[in-house]
Amino acid sequence: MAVQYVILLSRQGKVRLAKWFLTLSLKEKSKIVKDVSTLVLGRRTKMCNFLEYKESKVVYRRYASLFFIAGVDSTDNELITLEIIHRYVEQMDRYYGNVCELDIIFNFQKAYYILDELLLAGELQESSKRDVLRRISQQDALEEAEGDEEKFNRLGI
Amino acid sequence: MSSKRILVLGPPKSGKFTFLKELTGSTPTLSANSTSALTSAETTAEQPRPTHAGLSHTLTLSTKYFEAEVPIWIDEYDDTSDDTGIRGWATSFSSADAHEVVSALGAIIYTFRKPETLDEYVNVKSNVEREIRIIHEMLISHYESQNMEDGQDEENFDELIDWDGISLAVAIPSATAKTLSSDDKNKESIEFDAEEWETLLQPFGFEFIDIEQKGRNDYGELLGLDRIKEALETYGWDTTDEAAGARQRGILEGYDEYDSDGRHHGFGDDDDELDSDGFDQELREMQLETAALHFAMDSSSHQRDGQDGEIRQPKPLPESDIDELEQIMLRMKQVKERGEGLPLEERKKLADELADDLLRLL
Repeated sequence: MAVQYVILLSRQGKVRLAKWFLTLSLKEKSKIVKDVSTLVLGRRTKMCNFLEYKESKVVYRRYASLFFIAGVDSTDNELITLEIIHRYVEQMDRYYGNVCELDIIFNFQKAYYILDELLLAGELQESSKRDVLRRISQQDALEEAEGDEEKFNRLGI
Repeated sequence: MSSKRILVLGPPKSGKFTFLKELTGSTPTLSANSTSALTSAETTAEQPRPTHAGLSHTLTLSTKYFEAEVPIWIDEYDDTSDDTGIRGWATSFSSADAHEVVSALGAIIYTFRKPETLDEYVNVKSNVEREIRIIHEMLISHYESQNMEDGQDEENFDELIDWDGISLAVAIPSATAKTLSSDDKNKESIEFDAEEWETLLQPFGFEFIDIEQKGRNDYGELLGLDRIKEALETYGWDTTDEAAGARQRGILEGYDEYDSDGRHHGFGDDDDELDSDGFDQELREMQLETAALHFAMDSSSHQRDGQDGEIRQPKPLPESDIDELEQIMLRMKQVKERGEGLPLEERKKLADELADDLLRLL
């Protein structure tokens, strides 16, 4: 089960997040993003969530004016990929609290961190929603503490 | 005031003012100069309708992340049965003079009236598609020429700028719609299939919005005016083109460590601990270089001896050289100590100073 890439695409066709699990040149990445964006944005509502692109499969789901897209190997299970995407969305919703596109634009680092807790080298590494959220909040707490410490140091306290 | 603008565009009487009233709460003021000149065709008893081209207005956006006052430009082209009206507009917008205007746009909102009868429906649909296509082509050619100007070619993906603004096509209800529906029960109500229109306009990058719709759809997405506001809020009204280009590149490369200025922060740029490692690395590199120099001086002195064909004692390095090296080492140590606990910018400055000093010493 190897996800090759995860892309978040807005309804306006803007890429809000791109996580790559294979090594590609910038040119190749741009090509994939362009092609996959055109394919996914052109889908009608009742169409299947899976499509073929070159030698791989593309699995997508539309949530709140964002398209969550995952590229997988042709031997991978599409339904499981859909579940992974759904899990990612649930995590984000729980973390941001009713996530919307603006949240992802202005707090994109968290979106990447959550994805990193979920997927490692394209494989699902943590399926527990509770654990992922716990780790992210621990991370937040650590960042806050460091931020405060930095401020105190600057002030000379 | 933000640096980018919204352009509201449409044929006359397409509901631009209605739209602006809904969006901003007020309508733009008609200036005294906006009355169109009387042509021979218009010398009828009717009053000439003042053109809405060239008017401006403002939209205030307020989100939990930012607030912005965005200027709005309103433009209009002649409503002709063929494309000449919109083509004329597109041509003028493709001219060199209009280049800056297009570059200053952050959003294009195209307005049109909803058809009232089934016959009109087909016409309106094909008109809208044609006009949106022309607007889309204008945008493409603008950015193509821009990229050529900047000397970017396809190989150089880094700074290729593309239209990254918001494109919306808004359907405004016909002004007489209310009177029709209550009186004429024989007329079939037009079913406005949003999905059909979405699919129609998507290839041109335009999102279709029916301003009469409210609430959310099956995907949990906002509809109507709320969606328009949401879409406009997702644009970076205060960023520059360079930042936007760099951010596009950053997103594509999958960097998850870049800030809102578009600068990339890799490892060793932010975190304090990693930072001192980076600094150490520079020092180590310099130490290696001086060691290499040292070695080179050694071996060159060896070579000189070798050429004489005699085996001599390796010449001791002249005192001055050793002193120099010692000085260099001391300097590096000093700078390192000073550098600890300073922010990134100053450390970089220190590193530069050190490099200069060393070059001079050597």
